[in-house]
Amino acid sequence: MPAAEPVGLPATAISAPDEAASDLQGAALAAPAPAAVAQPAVAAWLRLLRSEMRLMLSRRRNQAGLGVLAAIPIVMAIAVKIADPSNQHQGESFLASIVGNGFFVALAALVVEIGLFLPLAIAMLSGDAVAGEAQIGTLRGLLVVPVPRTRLLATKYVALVLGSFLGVLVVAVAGLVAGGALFGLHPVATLSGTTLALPVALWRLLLVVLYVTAFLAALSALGLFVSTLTEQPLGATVAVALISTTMWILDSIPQLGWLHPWLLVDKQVALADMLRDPIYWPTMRLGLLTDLAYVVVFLLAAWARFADKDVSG
Amino acid sequence: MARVTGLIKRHPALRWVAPTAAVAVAAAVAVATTAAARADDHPVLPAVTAEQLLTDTMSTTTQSLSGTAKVTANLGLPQIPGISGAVSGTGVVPGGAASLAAGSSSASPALTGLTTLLTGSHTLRVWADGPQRSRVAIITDGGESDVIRNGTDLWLWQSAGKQALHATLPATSAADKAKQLTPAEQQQLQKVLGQLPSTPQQAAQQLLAAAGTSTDVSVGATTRVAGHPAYQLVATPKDKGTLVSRIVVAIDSTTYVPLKTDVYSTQLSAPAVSVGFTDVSFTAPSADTFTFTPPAGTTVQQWTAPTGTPEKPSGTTGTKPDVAVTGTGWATVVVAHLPAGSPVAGLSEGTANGKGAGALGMLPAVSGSWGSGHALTGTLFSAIVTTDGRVAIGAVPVETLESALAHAGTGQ
Repeated sequence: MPAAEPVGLPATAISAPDEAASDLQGAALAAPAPAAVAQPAVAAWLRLLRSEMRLMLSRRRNQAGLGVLAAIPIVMAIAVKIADPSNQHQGESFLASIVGNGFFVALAALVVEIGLFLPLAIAMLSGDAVAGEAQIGTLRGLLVVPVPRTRLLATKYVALVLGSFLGVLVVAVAGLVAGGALFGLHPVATLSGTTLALPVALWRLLLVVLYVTAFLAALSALGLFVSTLTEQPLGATVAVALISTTMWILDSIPQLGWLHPWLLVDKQVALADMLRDPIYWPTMRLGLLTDLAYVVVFLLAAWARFADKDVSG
Repeated sequence: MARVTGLIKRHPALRWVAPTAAVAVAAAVAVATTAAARADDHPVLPAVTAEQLLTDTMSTTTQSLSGTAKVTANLGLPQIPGISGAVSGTGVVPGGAASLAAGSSSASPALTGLTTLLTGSHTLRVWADGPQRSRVAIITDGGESDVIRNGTDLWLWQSAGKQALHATLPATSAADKAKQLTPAEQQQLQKVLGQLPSTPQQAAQQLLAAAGTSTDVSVGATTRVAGHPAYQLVATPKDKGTLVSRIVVAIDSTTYVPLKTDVYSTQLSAPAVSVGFTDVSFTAPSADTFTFTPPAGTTVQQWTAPTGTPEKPSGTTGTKPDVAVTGTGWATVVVAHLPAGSPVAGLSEGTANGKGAGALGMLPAVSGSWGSGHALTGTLFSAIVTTDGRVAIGAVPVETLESALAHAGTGQ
């Protein structure tokens, strides 16, 4: 189970980033010349990705971040469990459905965390990606080895997307475990009034996880670009978190209706459409197209910036 | 390729062309798709007359469809709490997404979902298979209201608070009805049936003849609805005293299924009411679309249709209903006395009994030789509720209602 992976890793020393970074250099040095055949090139790229992932997962604060992400659904489940049953309001919400079915803990937690916690996690990861390495000087070392900057950037982006997926999956799995333990897992009532068997509902939950991951992948592209602009990882992190939060605020102002379709966050709560029967795709389709547009624009911008960035260190 | 790489190496700033172009492409695609949906597209179709079009529409054999429709209503109704309350705002975080997770704190009254259609813009999902089986789902943020009909079973479902209402409809086949009639009534029925149009074409002719005195019915420019080329039937009231400017019905050019209806007001350039498919296919939905079993934990209300002939209200004080009709056709105004004890009847005493009086109080006050009251100025219809318990309503401006009230007042 990927969710448990970071916890299962041996505790690394405080100097873990540098060690892992030198590991990355080793992987890069092992990469063959561009003239080599495709197979070793792919293998070399996978090595690069693997060391990038190891670097990401071995950081203490990332492990702590995953813990925080997993804590939210657990706290929510416990809060609902100990709340006065007579105080349960009958809103049109996932939270109100938790009492009857632990499955909804996962959904409610995702909806809650999509606004701040998950974007914050992406802001942290993307701050580290380029600006962080530039600050501690390992980026310079990476760049002297014969790995094209474009490939390095692509690897870092893929690592961010995998990290996003892991984060969302941790929330969903923690929600299922906490909800299942406290309320039990039962067939799921959709918004349309039909009932889904548990395996079908879990499949829908996976689709929700992928939909949220697509949003975070778009935010990661934006974060990667911001990360190439500075050598202060904290500055990049704060900037990405601010941009994300600002978009959520702008999206809540009805007077700015003309702006909403252009905001990355506008279609994200449409994940509730996954719980209709049959699934209602149009809004989510627009959401995915918006994600795609942000990915293309900001990856190209990151590439344009990173390619001629002066790396000191 | 090598030349491009070389060029970029010499002028690194040129790399910025790529993201800039991506922004331009994304914006252009977004704007173009929106514009294409809005553009006046007039596909070339064989010319038809209004009568042909009506005939074909009435004789359409297509009875199965599934699709998505958009309903927009701008009736000029005031924002009454409880009517618009069920539509929660779009997701906002932390507020918005949290509101989706937590729902609105106020308990929603049963099945308010349906009344949300009266204001603003909503998305419906529609499935139909013959006249006996249909399902309409009203999509709201994080919620849904469904109306499902399967034969004699009618279900209303609302996801907010998990509420359902089940009704068993009387079997409505004409043969069943006829069996219950006395011989004299059956003779009467035969006579009426003889006058009824026996073909869609006759029906179309009768409809046009009936409408002809008050309405111009014509075939407008062709259009495209949900990708389907469509004819447009335009009904224009001859009477200029009405608030209704025209009614446009778009009819699919191959199946003759009505795809869109726009009702225009003289007060607005955009339709006051618009109901149309944004996506539609004419294939039969699967049978389980129409089966409904309330999920566990649902509050189910049973509603039984009254059987037998409806009894005449016995306890009413008036001998004849106090309803006066003035004007004709589209400019018809109905003036009626509200029954005593209705929530708005005690308005003159200033007793705000019930929600209706409270809402009425928010409407602007009007007065004239006919008395005084509160007026609702809508885009398609107006209404005045007077302090002496009369109500005037019609698809006309408030001024016409006032003169009708004055007229009805002198007539008594």
